[in-house]
Parts: sequence; C-alpha cells; structure tokens
Amino acid sequence: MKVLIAEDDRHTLEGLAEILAREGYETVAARNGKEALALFHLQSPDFVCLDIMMPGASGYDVCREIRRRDPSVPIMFISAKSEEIDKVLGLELGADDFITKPFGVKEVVARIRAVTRRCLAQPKARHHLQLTPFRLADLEVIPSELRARRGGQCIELSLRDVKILDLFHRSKGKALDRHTIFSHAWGGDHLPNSRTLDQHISQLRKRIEVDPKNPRIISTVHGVGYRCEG
Amino acid sequence: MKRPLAMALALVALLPLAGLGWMGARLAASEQQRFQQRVQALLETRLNDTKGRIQEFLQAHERQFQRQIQDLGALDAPTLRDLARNDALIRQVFVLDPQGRVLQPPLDGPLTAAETDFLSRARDILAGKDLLYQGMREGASSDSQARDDSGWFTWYGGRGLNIIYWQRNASGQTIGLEVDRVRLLAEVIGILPDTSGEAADASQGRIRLQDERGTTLYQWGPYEPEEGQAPAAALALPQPFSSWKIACLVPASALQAGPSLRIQLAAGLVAAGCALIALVIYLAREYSREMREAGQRLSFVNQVSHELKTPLTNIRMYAELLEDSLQDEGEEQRRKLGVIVSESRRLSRLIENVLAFSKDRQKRLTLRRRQACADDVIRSAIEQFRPGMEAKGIEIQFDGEAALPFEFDPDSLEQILGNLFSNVEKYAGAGKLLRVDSRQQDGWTTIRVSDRGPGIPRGQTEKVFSPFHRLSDRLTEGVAGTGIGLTIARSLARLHGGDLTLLPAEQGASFELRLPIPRTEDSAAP
Amino acid sequence: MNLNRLHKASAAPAVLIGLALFLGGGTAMAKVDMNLTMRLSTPKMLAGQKQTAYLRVGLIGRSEELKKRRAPVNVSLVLDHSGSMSGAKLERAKEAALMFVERLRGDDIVSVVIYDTTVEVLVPATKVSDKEDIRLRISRIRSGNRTALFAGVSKGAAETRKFLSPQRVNRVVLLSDGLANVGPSTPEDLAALGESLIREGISVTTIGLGLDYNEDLMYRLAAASDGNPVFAQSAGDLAGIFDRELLSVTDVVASQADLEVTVAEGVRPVRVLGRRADIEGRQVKVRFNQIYHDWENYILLEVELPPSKAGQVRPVATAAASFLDLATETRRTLRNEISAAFTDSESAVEKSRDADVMVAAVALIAAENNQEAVKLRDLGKIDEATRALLANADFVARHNQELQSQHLTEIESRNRNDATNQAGERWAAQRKLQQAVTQIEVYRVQQ
Repeated sequence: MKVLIAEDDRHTLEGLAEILAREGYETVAARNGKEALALFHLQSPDFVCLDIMMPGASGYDVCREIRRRDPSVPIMFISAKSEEIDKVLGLELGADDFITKPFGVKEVVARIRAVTRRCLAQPKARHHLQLTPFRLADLEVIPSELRARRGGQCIELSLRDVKILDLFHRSKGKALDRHTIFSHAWGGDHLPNSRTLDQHISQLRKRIEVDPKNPRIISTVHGVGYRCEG
Repeated sequence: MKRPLAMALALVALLPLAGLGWMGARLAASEQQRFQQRVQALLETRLNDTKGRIQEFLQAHERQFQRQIQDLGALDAPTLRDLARNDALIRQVFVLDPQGRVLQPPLDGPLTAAETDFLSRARDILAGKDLLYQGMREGASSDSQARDDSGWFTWYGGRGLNIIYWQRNASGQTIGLEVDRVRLLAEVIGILPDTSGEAADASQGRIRLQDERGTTLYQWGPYEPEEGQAPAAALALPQPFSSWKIACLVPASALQAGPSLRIQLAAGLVAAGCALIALVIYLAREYSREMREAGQRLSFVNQVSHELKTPLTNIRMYAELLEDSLQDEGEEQRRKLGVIVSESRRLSRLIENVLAFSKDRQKRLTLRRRQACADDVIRSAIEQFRPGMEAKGIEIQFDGEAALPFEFDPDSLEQILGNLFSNVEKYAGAGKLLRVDSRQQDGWTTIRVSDRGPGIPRGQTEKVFSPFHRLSDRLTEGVAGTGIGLTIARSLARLHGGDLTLLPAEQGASFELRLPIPRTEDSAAP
Repeated sequence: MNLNRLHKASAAPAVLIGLALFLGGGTAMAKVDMNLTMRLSTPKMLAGQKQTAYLRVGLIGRSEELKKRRAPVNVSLVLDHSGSMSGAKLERAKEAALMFVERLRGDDIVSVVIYDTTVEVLVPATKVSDKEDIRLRISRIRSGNRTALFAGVSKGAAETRKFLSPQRVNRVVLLSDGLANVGPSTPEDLAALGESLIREGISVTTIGLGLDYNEDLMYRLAAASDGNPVFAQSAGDLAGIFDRELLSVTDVVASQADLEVTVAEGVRPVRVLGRRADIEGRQVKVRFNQIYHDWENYILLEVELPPSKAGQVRPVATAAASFLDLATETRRTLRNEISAAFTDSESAVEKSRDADVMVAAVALIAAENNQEAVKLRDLGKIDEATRALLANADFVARHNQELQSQHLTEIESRNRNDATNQAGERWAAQRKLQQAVTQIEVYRVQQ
C-alpha cells in the first residue's frame, strides 16, 4: 500500500516515513502542498497524510483538491493547532482522521492501522493480500483487521506482519528463504542485509508466539530462512 | 472592547460634560438676566433724563399758565376770548364758581362756535362737579409738591385726550385753561431730541413717545425696531400725559450679555470636553493596549507552545524509533533512550498543560470527543509513568472496569491522568502507592486516583484547584511544579460535563474523576 | 407764544430804532400805505323786509420801498425723505432746496429739517453765512422709511421759533409726497397744529408732490396757518414753486394783522365766508399773518339786516385793524365803518350793487359748495356729487346773469367740467386741483 505524506518539517517527514515503512507501507513524500498535489496525481496513493500548516497551499486546500478528484481516498491530517481539527472533522472537508503533535510512534501506528483497516475493506486497494482469515497453528489471523487472535487474546499486527504471515500461510510447511520473504513483505529486490528481516521476525515472534524464545509458529531454518508448520 | 466597558467610559465622558453644560447654561442665563437688568436700569436712566426734560417743559408751562391767569384781571368774556384767541396753546378758558357752576363762557350770552364745541365736549365733566373736583384733587401737578389749588386735569372724549390746567383763586373760583393737545404735543416734540442721519450706533436704541393706545406719537434714535418689538424699558410721563409713556427699544443684540462671557463659558466647556474626551480616549487606548498585550502574551504562549511541539515531536518520535531498532541491544543504551523518551513525554505534557491553561484563560478550551475506551487510556498513561514510578518505588495498582467505549476526549483524559499521576510522583512518593480504579455505572465513568502520601490539608481542598496555587512551601520545598495541573484537570473534566473532586480520605489524597457517558441511539447501558 | 409779549417786545426796540433813525436823520422808511376797506354787496337795500347782504372787509397795503427791500426771512425747510421719495423725486427736491438756499441773503435765517420715521434737524436755525455747509448737508440727504410728518413740521416750527420775530417773515415750508403715518396724521390734527402756529405768527406752506399725497391734510395744515397749499404735479415743478414762495415771502408789507368787525345793533352776523373766523356775538375776529404788497386780504361776512324803513340809513358794522407795519416796524391801528341805505326802488338797489363783492361772495359760496361736492364724491356718492356740482354751476350761472363776471364764468364751467369727471380715473388729480383752487380762492381774489 502506498501512502502520501505531506509535511514541511524534514525531520517529522522522515520520521513518519520511517514509521510507515516499518509498518510495511510504500511511502511517497512531499515537502509542500503543491508537491503533494502533483505527487497525488502522479502516484495515486492509497491514502494521504497531510500536515495542515504548509507553505504555499495549506493542508486544507490540498485536501479539498484531492477530494475533488477522489472522494473516497482516506486523508489524515497532521496538526499542531488542535482547535482547527474540529472544523475539519465536520463533513466540510471530509477528512477521515487526524493526529496532533506531539505524537508518539505508537499513536501514529495505531492511527495508520485504523486507516488501513478501512482501506483494506475497499475494493480498489492494492495490497495483493488475501483478506479471508486463516489459521497458523493455534493463531487465528484476520488480515482485514490487522489482528491475530489466540483464544481471547487480541494481538495487533502491522501490515507487514500480515503480509509475512500471509506468505507463511500460503507456503505452509515450506522453508522460505530470506529473499522471498523480503521481496514479498518489503517489496524490494535487494535485501541489503538480513538484519532487518531477522529483527522483524524476532519482533513478530515476540508478539505472536506464546514463548518467543521457543517459537512454534515461525521456526528458523538454518542457512535457509524460516518456515511455518501450520 | 467589551460593550459594557465602552458604555461606562462613554458615560464617564458624557455625564460630567452634560453637568458642566447645564451649569454653564444656567450661569449664562443668570448672567444674561443680570446683564439685561443692568441694561434696563441704564435705559431707564436715559428715559428718566427725557422724562425730566418733559417735566421741566411742563413745569415751565404751568408757571406760564399761572402767570397768564394772574394777569387776566377781569374774568369777563372778551378778556378770556382774547387770551384764547391769541395764545397758541390755549384753546378755551372757563371759570367755575365755588359751587362748580359755569361762570364763563357765559351760558346765557351768545357763544362762539368754539365755545359751544367746548361746552358739549366738557358737558359731563362740568355737570358732575363731584367728578370734576375729585379729578382735580387727584390730578397732581407736575410740580413735586402736590398742590390743592392748581393742577392738571385730563379726560378722554371727542378726539382723544382733553387737557385742562386749572387754578383756584382767592375767591374760590376755579379758572381752567383748555390746552390744545396737538399744540402741546408739537411743542414737546420740539424739545425732544432729533435723530442724526449719520450711521450711529444702533445699540443706542430708539425712544418712542406713545399715547394711551400705544401708538407712536414721536420717536428718535438710530435703531429701527422690528415690527411688534417690545420695549426694553418704559416710563410713564407726568401729568397731563400720565396715560402716555416713553419707551426705549433696543436691538436684541444690545440685550445679550457680551459675547465675552459666553465665549468664555463655551471655551471652558470645550476645554473640559476635550480634556474628558482625551481622558476617555487615553483610558480606552490603555485598556485595549492592555487587552492587546494580554492577548499577545497569550498568543505568544500559544505560539511558543506550538513552536515547541514540532521539535518535541521529532525528539520523541526518533527516540521511539531508535528504541524499536535497539530492541535486542544493550540494557544501558535502552535505559538511556528510555530517559530521552520519557522526558520528552513529560515535556509534551507540560506544554499541553500550559497550552490548555492559556486556552482555558481565553475560554477557548475545547474537547475533541470520539469513541474510545477509558481503560485503554488509563493503561497507556500508567505505562508512560511506570518507569518513573518504579524508580521511586511507587507501586501501581489498577482495577479497570471501564472497558466499554463511549464518547469522550481521550487526549484530555490522558492529560488529566498525567497531571494526577505526576502530582503523585512529585508529592506523594512517600506513600509508595498509586492506585487507580475505574467504574462505569448509571451513565457515568468514574476513575479514582489515590495515593498514601501526606494528603491535602483541610483548608486547602478547594484552593488546590486554583491556578498557581501550591500547597505550603514546607511540603513542596524543592519540588518543581507549575501549579496549574489540577486547574487544567478540573477544567477538562467540567468541559466534558463531569467533574474532578477531592474525596475525603483518612490517609493520602484521593481524586475522583467523573465523565458522563452521553446517551446515543445505539449505546448500550453499562 | 403770547402776542401780548410780542407787542411789548416789539414796541420798545421799534421806538428806539425809530428815534435813532429820526435823530440820526437816517433813511427811515415811510410807513406802509394801508387801507382798511369795507364794502357791501348792496349798499342800497330794499326796505320793509329782512335782507341778506355780504360785507367785505379787507386790508390792503402798499409800500414801494418795502417792495424793493425785502424783509428778512426766517424759514424752516421741512423735507420728506421717506421711502416713497426715493429716486428722481428726492433729487429734484434737493436741487430745488439748494436753489432756495442760494437765493437767501446773509441776514436771512434758514433751517432744514428732514423726516422719515424719525426727524433730523439737518441744519439748525442759523443765519445764512455758510451756504456751502448747508448745501453739503442738503446734498447728502438719502431716502428713508415711513413718514412722521407731524413731527417734521413740529421740529421745523421749533427751529423757526428760535428766531421768531415780527420783523421777519416766519415760515415753515413743507415738502412731502406721501401720507403721514407716524404720529398724529389726520387732517384735523394737522389743522389744529396749523391753527396753533398761526397764533404765534408762523405760517406753513405745504408743497404736495406727485399724486400720492394726502391733499386734505396738506391743505388743512396750510389753510389753518395762513400759508399756501401748493400742488406740484411733478418734481420738475418744484424749482418754480420754491421761487414763487420765496418771492411771496419777500414782499410782505405788514404782519400779524388783527381784524375786528363789530356789526351794529339789530344786525346778525350769519357766517364768515372763505376762512375760519370767530363770531362772538356781534363780533367777528380774524387774524391775517401776512399782508402782501398790493394784495388785499379780506373776509366776507354774510349779514342779516332787520326790516328797515325806506330812507333809513342803518349802520351795518364797524371794523378795527391792528397790524405791524414792517416799514416802520411799529404797530398801527386803523378804523372804519359802513352803513346801508334802504329804498323802495329796486332799480336803485340794482344800480348800487357792488359787483366785485357779489362776485367774491358767489365765488366763495361756490367754493364751499364745491367742497361739499368733494365730500360727497369721497363717500362714493358719485351721482349726488355730480348733481351738487351741476347745482352749483346753476347757482353761479344765475348770479352771473347780472354780474357778467369772467371769473364766475370760469367757476361755472369748471364746476360743469368737474361734474363730468366725477367718475373718471383723473379723479385723484382733479380732486387735488379742486382743493387747491378752492383754497386759493378762499384767500385771494384777483383784483
């Protein structure tokens, strides 16, 4: 899934881009309103994050413009001045959500996931995902909700997590090498080093495994990669 | 500026002005009155001069009449007729016996036409001798000593005023001279002033000699009065003209108190008015400057807070990103990173507080309600404070029974909890306990935050909620704090329609936060 | 002013002057040749019935010397400069006044009084030494507002009074074009003023200018004071009028003439024709202010004689005149008397008829009748006025049959003319003319 981020502060922009990338989204960055509109037309993202105070066209103007072309694409406002959000959240501009500074990573992630859930429900979303829930061992995975359940316990998943689990589910029993996993979940050809992947798997295990030290769902295949037994 | 204040200022300016104006008008009026009286007195003096002249004239004639009567000698018809014929002023001479009967002109002899005319005119007067005698006694002469044996007598009949000068002789006979009114008037005109044609000062006015009907007989003076103008002063004339008068008319401008007084008053009023208006303007400007500056201060505060938010966001965000990346790395690095993160969060909270406080001052504090789960927020807040609490050895207990989502502002709840927890951390650390309970019941979500610290002294249970209020320095010595935390927390609670109150407790402090659960169509009762 | 005082005043200096002149052997003037005439319309009357006759008593004086030397003048010029006089009228009046002043001599006394709403003594009574100053002031006169005629004349009289002297000819000359509307303004008031002025020896000449003036008022004022009422149809007439006034002012031979006519026992004085005179029992007293050279002042007395026997000569009246002789500056008296004879012969009566007296009597009676007709016309009774005028013409014609007088013929035709013009627009002008002529008729009759 492709996300367009428009934010004039460089650090915030790069920080958000990194968070989103970790979540498993493809990001397109714009530094001002004009760029944002141009990139929106060019790249047709699946949803948009707009900073309100930007030089040139403000987030509101960009939102209006985008809405004119695509009334359904989800738009989230990033704002430092909270009082303006009230207006916005009215049907007036048709934004879906907002996030106010200062925000933490967790907040961003929670909002993004919420938006993603809505996106996944839409037919024209590009995600190459199967949305029907499936099981991996005793874990029930619900891709459309970005969640997994074990018993009554609810586990939040990122998009990438879902992609990885989806891959494991489809190649149940098979050992997957890192390249395959990488290209499926990261979407790139070149795996710089295995560290990123291994770290992610490690963190995923922490979330979904009963005992992360002794993983039952995702098992390591030395020299090759990983495998899910089912 | 607010309307009531503007009106008050306007009143401050206008009321004294009105008062001054009224007083000034009264002063001018009374000044005018006095001036008019002075002018009138002046005019009356002038009229008195004229009256004096006329009096002298009449007295001279009286003396002449007396001489003429004395010189008569025999009181027979030819002598008397001669006198009447030759004297320009005397029309007719008559003689009455002591009983008032007419001796001359001789009623039994041939009468001239003039004598017949006179007798018919004077018939009533001569017949009613009581009237005649009474009138004669009343008609004082122009001489200051009212004499009993001579004088003027006037009556109206025929063509107007009839004038007689009479004198009683030693034998008790009354000798009367009928004086030609027209001739007498012409002679009076002769001795009265004329009017120079040169452009004279109109304020000199005009003096009119007026008869009994107010008709002008003669007038002099450079001023031409308006139609129907009333005289400024008038004097009655002495006998035989007592029904006539001399009146003085002056232009209205002469009766006006000098412009100098009015100008002074007007100038004074204008000056006072200017001073008042200047004062009001100064006050208004000072006030709006105050307001503007206060606004500027507030908006500066806002601005600063907003400016701080972006770098703060970045610090926190990057610290957290780093935290995630370093998940498997060294404890020490993770710990240090944890400090950065928690401190940046604390900074965030402080900024939020200040911002909320300044907005609250401006009455611009608002909520952004949405469907959320109170317990989630409590948990998240507890997690944020856990490192700090653990470092101080404060145990955290949480009993959450408010898992049902409802509509409220989670950020506000987080802020309230943050303030309460931070207070516990700052002031109640000795109690080693932070307990949080949450309930949902009867349409309310109730969250209780309790500690076992020193608690709040009896007299300060309300004061703690006041801004900038800090408990006695003994307690809080050495501890930082802005004094606005509880103020904000309560404002936010009340904005929701709920409240934040201090519960009585034997030990420690126990705050209760109540948030209403708004009724919607599809909300299920808890 | 008391005439007694005047008499006393004039006697002393007059005697002294006379003495001085006599002693100095200077050029004292010869006394005025004054005649006190008495004439009856019919010296012979029919016996046996009551008779009405007209007695004419007149004073006529001559003095060639006085005619040459004119008496010093004490005149007050009273000018109306009210609003209605503005423009050409005022300019003409001023020009004429200037001319008048020009003709005065150094020993004349003049004052100029102007009036509109108020009165200004422009030039107080002063010897005419500085004509330039007087001229300047006259030329500065501007037109004003309303009209205080009575006050103007009063002031003028007061100025004249300052130098009042029987040796001088004391006059007020009033020039006015408008009505009087400030102060006493009725003809009666002005007549009363005039009457009082003549008693102290001041006459008022009134000059009415244009068509708007109140002729009754002007005439009554002049008539009562023995002055001349003059009508100036246009401003251009004024120069000539002033000239005539001056001339008339200068050939006075006697002043303050008192005439006393006492009718005899049995004779009844009926009325005095032509002037106001007091009938006191059997006495008629009259005052003439001025006697002009060769100009008779007279009164006409209508008397009624009781039936007398033929051949009887009845005294009719005696007359006494006292006057100030301006040549000798002394007061003189004259006496005369007249009787009538009675006859049965009508032709004798006819032959004795004094045409002049009759003519004068008829003329004066006609004048009075004309006055009555004017009064009727004023009341709007045009028809009655016309009838009165025609009746008057008939009356004159009847008498003129015997008298054959040119004068009476003129009067008759004038009356007939007036009768036809009663309804015309020229009534205003005609009325003035009628009045003027009538009044003048009253005073003087061409000899």
